[in-house]
Amino acid sequence: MLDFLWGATLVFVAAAVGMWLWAIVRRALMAKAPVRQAPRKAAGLLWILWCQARDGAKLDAKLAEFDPRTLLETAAYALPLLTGADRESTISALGRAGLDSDAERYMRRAPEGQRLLCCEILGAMKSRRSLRVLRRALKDRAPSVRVAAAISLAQRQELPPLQTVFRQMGPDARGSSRLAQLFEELLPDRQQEVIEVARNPLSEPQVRISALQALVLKSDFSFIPFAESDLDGAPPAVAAAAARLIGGYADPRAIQILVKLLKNDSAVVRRAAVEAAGEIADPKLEVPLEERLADEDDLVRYSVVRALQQVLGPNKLDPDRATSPTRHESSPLEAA
Amino acid sequence: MTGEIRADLIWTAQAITWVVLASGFVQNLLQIIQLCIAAATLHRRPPVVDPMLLWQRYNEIAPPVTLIAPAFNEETTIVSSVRSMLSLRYPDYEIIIVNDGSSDGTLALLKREFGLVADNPFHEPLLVHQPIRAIYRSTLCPRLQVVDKLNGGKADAQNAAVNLCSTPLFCVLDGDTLLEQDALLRAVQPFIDDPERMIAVGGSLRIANGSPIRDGQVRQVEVPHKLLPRIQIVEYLRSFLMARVAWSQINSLMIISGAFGLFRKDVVMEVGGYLAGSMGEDLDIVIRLHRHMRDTNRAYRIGFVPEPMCWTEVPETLSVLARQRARWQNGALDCFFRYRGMALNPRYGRVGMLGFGQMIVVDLMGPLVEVLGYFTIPLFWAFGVLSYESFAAYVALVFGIGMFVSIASLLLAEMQLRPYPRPLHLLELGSAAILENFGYRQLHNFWRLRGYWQYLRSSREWGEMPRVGFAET
Repeated sequence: MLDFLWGATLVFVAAAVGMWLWAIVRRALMAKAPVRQAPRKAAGLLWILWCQARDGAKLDAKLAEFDPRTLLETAAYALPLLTGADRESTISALGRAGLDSDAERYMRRAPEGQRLLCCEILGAMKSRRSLRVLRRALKDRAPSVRVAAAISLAQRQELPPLQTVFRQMGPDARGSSRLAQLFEELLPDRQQEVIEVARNPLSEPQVRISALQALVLKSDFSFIPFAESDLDGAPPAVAAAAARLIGGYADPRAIQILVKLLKNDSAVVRRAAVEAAGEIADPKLEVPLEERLADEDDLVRYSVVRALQQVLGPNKLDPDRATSPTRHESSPLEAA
Repeated sequence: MTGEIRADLIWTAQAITWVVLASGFVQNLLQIIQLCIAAATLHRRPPVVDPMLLWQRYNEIAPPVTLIAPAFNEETTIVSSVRSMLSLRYPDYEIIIVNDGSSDGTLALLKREFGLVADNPFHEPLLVHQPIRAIYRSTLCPRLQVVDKLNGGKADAQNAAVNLCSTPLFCVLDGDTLLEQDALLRAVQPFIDDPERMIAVGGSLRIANGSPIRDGQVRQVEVPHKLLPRIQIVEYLRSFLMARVAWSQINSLMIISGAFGLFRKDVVMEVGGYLAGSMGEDLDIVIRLHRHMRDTNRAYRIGFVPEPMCWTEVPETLSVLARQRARWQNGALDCFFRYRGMALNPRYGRVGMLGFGQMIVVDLMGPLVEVLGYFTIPLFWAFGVLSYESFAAYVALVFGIGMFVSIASLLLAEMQLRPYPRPLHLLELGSAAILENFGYRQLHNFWRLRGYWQYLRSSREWGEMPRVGFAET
């Protein structure tokens, strides 16, 4: 027993000292080695080389010096900075430097963060090989990579029908907020498909919310005409998100929808509708909001007071109109 | 008769020794398991992602966030902290500083530095807190609000700010915290990836002692000259990069540090906000979130992001550190006994079985058994009940494993985050990891016993925590 204890102690101490010395030596060697070109600097270099010198051969030669990882990170920095012909030429140069094949290799072995980065870059590439990699990435082991692959395929206008994509992505990836970015990429060309997703009662709430969010982000209020009927039976999370989105962009056509949502069975939806009404601050909403001052839910009543202040203007609301049994004595309303 | 007594004494001594050994073994085993889980997790998802890429990826869909920072007598650090909050790279956020009845110049300093004027926003006083004296908004930075209220403690101040916050997420900070510029962008990632289930996310803290600060940002990372803060660096690496990464991986994270935590406002409202008067409000809120979500049978996650989120100042003297650690222990016991119904209760799944199980071994029994061992094992050895060889082997193994776990955490940090830039830093921190086993570890257990005593006396004292202030250059 004693031998075992001493043996175990020796193993732990030796492992600790070994790891410690290894870390120090490794760091010292790294400090002495030539500094690897930082991706950000490389992007700057790329920018200067291409956009100022306009010398394709020089760019090819420079990119050939980069190791695969630097090339990948450089592309991630450089591509969002470039537009038009410069971007196209740079993408071609990155392709010639072997980015596609590096990315394919990374997608098999690299950790999640780098696979995600690969997917983002492959969205800009043109080769069939990169397309194949992205399609395979829709079934990647990490949900975030699957979403990134779908977004990149959408950027390349190569995304299969949404229902197929959702099936491949699986439920984990379908819960991501980044679906809004995916739907944005599909607009306006595949608007009808996005609207169908937003309306489909069989879609998961997060998918529908993301579709609505994308439509609103693109200032596409085409869902409003049918939102009035559709949102009645929608899950509370979807109806509440729709209300918030409408309020956030203050679309005047939304008033009728909000008036209806103010009477929704779910307190979450009523509260979101009240907040949206406050954002829009249209005088037509004053009466429907006042009716909600008697709401059974505390949170809704408090939101109504805030919304009425926004509709009527500061300090115009009579405190007696907003009585509540649980209001705290430090409320500024009391002071008003 | 004498022989029987002697036999009984030997039996008792051996039983105590076995309890001490078994407790030490379970604690060490727990640490090694945590280390393995953390290493696997960090290998699968390396934490470093460039801030610029994060911005490209998330700036359009990042949800609005309110930063909440209670401040009580923080005049030495508050301006730096607020500046660091204002310099965050995040598309949509606001800041609420709560002056929790400070008796020093905290409020006056804020008024002067940020041009505060009285404001009267409507808010939802659903969470109970001490009365608010005034609310101010900055004329220089409109996203900054300052609430001046009567003293009620940290949890009380956080409740006041949660009532005022109008965003779906809020981030609690300490008044003496310096944020990394991309902290929020990193912390919201789990909420973006899984908005329905994610209810709270914690982040790593780093120690700013010794590092030069300018405009609320750490300009160059240095290891402090004093041994005590160095040892605390190793402790923080062990706690954040090892333990919390591992516990979050199995969705049983029991604590999100009060110095940086991101929460979904609606769920915190559902559990009634922070518990005023709690000595461990950060532990308390997370346990209540677990309990609420399990009681209501909802799928949820409480995550942890290993990237450094913020910098904090740690105590540099033994007396202040002793008070801090006693308070932490008091808080842990307070929470454990308040929610004891969850402990080892299969209804609460991993949280009840593993999370509370770990609390029993580490927080409840840990200091008691270890200190008992300090006294009884040498005593038994002196009276010849235990052999010298057994005693020495026991002590060596405990120290050996302690050293291994600390150095492994340091290596984990070095491989994944490279937090300290020079080889000399690794040398200094490695030495601290070895030295902490000789003296500091024992003292720490005595401080935790003091926390026990405070808990038994129902003491609610936070004690003075004098701040040196960040070294602005």
